[in-house]
Amino acid sequence: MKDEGISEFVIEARNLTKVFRDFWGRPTVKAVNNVTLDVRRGEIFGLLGPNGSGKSTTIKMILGLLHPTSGHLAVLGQSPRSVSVKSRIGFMPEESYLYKYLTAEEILNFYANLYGLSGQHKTERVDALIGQVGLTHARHRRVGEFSKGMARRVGLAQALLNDPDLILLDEPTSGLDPIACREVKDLLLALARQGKTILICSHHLSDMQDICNRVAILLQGEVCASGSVQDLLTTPDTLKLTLQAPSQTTLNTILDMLERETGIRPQVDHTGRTLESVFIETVSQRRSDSTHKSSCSPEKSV
Amino acid sequence: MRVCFRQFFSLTGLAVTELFRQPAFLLVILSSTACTILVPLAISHQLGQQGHLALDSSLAFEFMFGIVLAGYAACATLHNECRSGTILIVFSKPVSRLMFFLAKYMAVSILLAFFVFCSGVASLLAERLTPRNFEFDALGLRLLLAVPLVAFIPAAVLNYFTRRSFVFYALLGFVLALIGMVIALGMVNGEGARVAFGSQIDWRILPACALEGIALLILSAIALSLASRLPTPTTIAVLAVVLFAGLISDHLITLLPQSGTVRFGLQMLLPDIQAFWPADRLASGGILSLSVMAHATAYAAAYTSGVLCIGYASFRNRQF
Amino acid sequence: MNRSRKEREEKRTGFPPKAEQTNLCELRDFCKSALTRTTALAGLTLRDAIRSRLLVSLSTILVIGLVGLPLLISGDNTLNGRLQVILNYTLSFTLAMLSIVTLWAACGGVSSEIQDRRLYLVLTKPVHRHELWLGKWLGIVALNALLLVLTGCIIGTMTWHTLRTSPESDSAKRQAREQFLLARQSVFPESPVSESQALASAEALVKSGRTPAGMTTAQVEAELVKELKRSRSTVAPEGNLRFAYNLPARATGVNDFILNYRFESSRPARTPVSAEWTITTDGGASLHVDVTNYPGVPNTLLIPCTAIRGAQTLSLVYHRLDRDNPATLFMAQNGREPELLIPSGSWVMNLSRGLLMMLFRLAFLSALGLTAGCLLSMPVAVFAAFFILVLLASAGYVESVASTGVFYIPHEGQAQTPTWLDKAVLHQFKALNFITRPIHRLDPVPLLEEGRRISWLLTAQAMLWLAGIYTAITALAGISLFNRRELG
Repeated sequence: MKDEGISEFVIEARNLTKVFRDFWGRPTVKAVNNVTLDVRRGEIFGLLGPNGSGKSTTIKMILGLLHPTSGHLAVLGQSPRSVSVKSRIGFMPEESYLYKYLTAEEILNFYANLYGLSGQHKTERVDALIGQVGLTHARHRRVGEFSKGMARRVGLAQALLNDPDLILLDEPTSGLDPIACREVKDLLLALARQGKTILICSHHLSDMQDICNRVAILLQGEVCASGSVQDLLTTPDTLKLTLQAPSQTTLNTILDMLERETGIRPQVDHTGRTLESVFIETVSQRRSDSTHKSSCSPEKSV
Repeated sequence: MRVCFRQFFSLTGLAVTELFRQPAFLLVILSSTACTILVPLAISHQLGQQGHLALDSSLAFEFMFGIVLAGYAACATLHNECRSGTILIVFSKPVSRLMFFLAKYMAVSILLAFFVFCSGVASLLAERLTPRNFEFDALGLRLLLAVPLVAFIPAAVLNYFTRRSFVFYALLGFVLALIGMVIALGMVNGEGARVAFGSQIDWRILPACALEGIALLILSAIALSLASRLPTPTTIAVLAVVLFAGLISDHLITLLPQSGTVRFGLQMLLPDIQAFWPADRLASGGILSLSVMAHATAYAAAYTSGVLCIGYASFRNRQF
Repeated sequence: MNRSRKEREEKRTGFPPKAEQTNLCELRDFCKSALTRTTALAGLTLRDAIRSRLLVSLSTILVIGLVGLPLLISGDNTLNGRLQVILNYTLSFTLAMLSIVTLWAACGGVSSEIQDRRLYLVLTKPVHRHELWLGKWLGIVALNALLLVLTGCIIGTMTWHTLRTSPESDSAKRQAREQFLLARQSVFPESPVSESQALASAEALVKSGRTPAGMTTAQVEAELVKELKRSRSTVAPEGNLRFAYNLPARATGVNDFILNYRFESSRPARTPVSAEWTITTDGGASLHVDVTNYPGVPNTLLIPCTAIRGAQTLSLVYHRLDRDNPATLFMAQNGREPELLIPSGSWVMNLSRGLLMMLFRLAFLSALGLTAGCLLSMPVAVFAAFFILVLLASAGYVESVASTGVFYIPHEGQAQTPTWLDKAVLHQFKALNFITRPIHRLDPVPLLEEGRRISWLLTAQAMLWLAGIYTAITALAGISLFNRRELG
């Protein structure tokens, strides 16, 4: 048996196949077909693909909820159906399937009990996570009354309760505003720096591009591309230059020279910011202005 | 106007299709039929009573399973749609809440009408199969054992080869098998000799079941009115209380002072289910005349309209 | 773990098996964490029931039913009648309602969570599926325990209130208390001749040559026993019948005894029969009570405590006074010997034991519902579980078919020999009877309605069979099938 402590691969899948059958045992859908992928320790791995490509099925097999029809799958060196391996996994599903009659704090306490946390450690951990996901003001409210974004935060908090080695996230930024998205991405990057392994399924390609080290693209249950983000995105035969805008004459000289060299006149455009950065800057500025005004104002706002 | 009708029938059709495909509906029909036919056989085995016992018990089962079906159907079609959020998609279209509510009621009514028909056929069989003078009809019992096979095997074959819905075709096959059994047993007596068709069957049972079906329409209106707010178990529990209170409404009212608001209120609010219980009338050899049916229908129409108005008033202001 | 078992484990999972835990501390920690998880799941189930207003609505329905039914059904409007209604209807209503609700809640406890996918978040935690099953089961049992406590309190309060506010006289109240609010055990009359005595008499008769030629000792003994039974059960006009009772302990003289008896008449006309009961104790005290009874109905004789204080044995003689009635009476036939009900414990403790037996029955139903919910979707699971509940409720009919072997009687002129179908169905009934008979036997409601004592032994048997064996078998089946179930 591999020593879990020093194994390079956290998730190993070899020729993984999952076929769903009907009542009579006949195959109906081959959701995952001969998928081979490895997720290394400490990396952020993205699983991409259109709807129905087999991403959720793969995640469920990793979690032991579905059993592979054939192939080999190891999670942290063990069978995914092993209960003990789940004490090192955190999972955040696409929808927040929470008990709507419990408060946020009660839900986290319940899951902490399932992880075997107790006493002061449990209380501290729950308090820390509630603060980390920004739900301190709503910790005693029932989850049934939460908005989708708030419920997603509870989902994220419960995934991190046990300080897991492997974190599985299905659409982690779905339902979150851009600032919250940014916070989640920063959190994931911080967790990766701590040595945690993260597997993300998402349709938000810009988010995946920002944080993933490696990705795999699934289509109709098969891996059609995989590798590091850098390698996949780089087009080796083109370059991008960013420079302070020179005078028109100098610019023309440079362009003529490059055209003589390559045979193609390069395109020139101004760089710009993204809508996300504009949003974040605007909202943050407004918030800091209102904080400054309320601290200066003689009367408290109602 | 044409658009309104089209919308109404579309909503009703969708709800009916959805309800008919639910395994619970098939199971209710099966359970109701099994209890209606088998319980009198089991009890008659010990007591040796005539068809009177079969009639009483089949009518009682029709009420019992009817309220379960009414509550379940109302909640499946309204409460669950509110909870899952699919109702938002409907109301994002130019569909009025009144039309939506009435379409749901129509769908539940269609379902109950089908159930009442099945219950009527099962009641005919129960009365026909009841042992006379401690003697069972062996042919009838053997046909009865064949009914599930005749119903389910073709549905299973159809599902295997064409992947069509097993539940829907099993239900259809089951009902057709029961009707076939009535026709077959209608042509012979208990000893297997040929007789004039239907001479051995008490056809009065059919209008009796229909009368109870009208009462079930009242109860389904109550169920739908409750389903906009309450979940399935609570709805069925309340329906059971209303049914029981309605059956003993005359006794309850006599417990109260002669002139009083409570008595008046109870008389107005409690449905007089006793008027829809035909067992006593049939037991004394009577029949259900057209005037009795007409009175009952008129009462049911008025009461149902009132209940639906209250239900709509509650549903109209519901926020999602 | 031996080598072949390791190889099988590795072949099955594709991974070498983990080393077995031999450290006692690790084992203790493992048990402690398993208990924590199970109780967390049980607490979640209970909290969900409370917060979703299931407990409140059930309690409301229970209160309405338990209070409303006796108000609606007043019986014969006597104190005895009202108490009878309270005990008969409320217990049956409680058991029926809680059985239905338990099955529904248990089926939904797993299947609806699978449908809503809330179970995914739980099963991705280090929780074994059997811990999940046990936790849910404990939660539902706790819910039932709360409701049964409420039931007991309501029944007790209503009984006390009915007694207190009744306009009847003190003696009538005392009589009602004696009849309904005391746990009683049955004592049956002694057989005048034991089996060994009958055998000895038969042998002596055969030896003395006073029996017909060719008759064996066994045949003579059978005839002797038959004759003795006949002589003990028939009462001619102006005739006597004597019954002797050995009491398990000396009568304290605090509570009355009750004699339940029933007789049939040789004539179809149901004319009343005048008679006198003479009750004699071993101390010599004697009491005469005149009675007038109808044949074919249960009759009750109240034996006042003052007449039997300190008695260890009782002799009851039934003497007919109606010389004009030529009918012969048949008492003590078909196992219906006059039954003496003697006080044996407080009603409150008896009711508590009865409710405990109900709890064990509901624990089994919870297991049944959870197993069905683990395998099937919500409405289908409910129907499957209810089908089993109906089978259990039909245990009496199943037993009668299994014991008589008669399924149906064909028409005259038809073949009498059972066909292969009849034999197959009969075998099924016998198999079903094997399963349902213990459950049928351990029903506390008829015992409580008749005021009979539910012993601690019976309660322990209920715990062993219902909450123990049946629940364990159902749990094993449910958990093993749930372990194999995929949640896609």
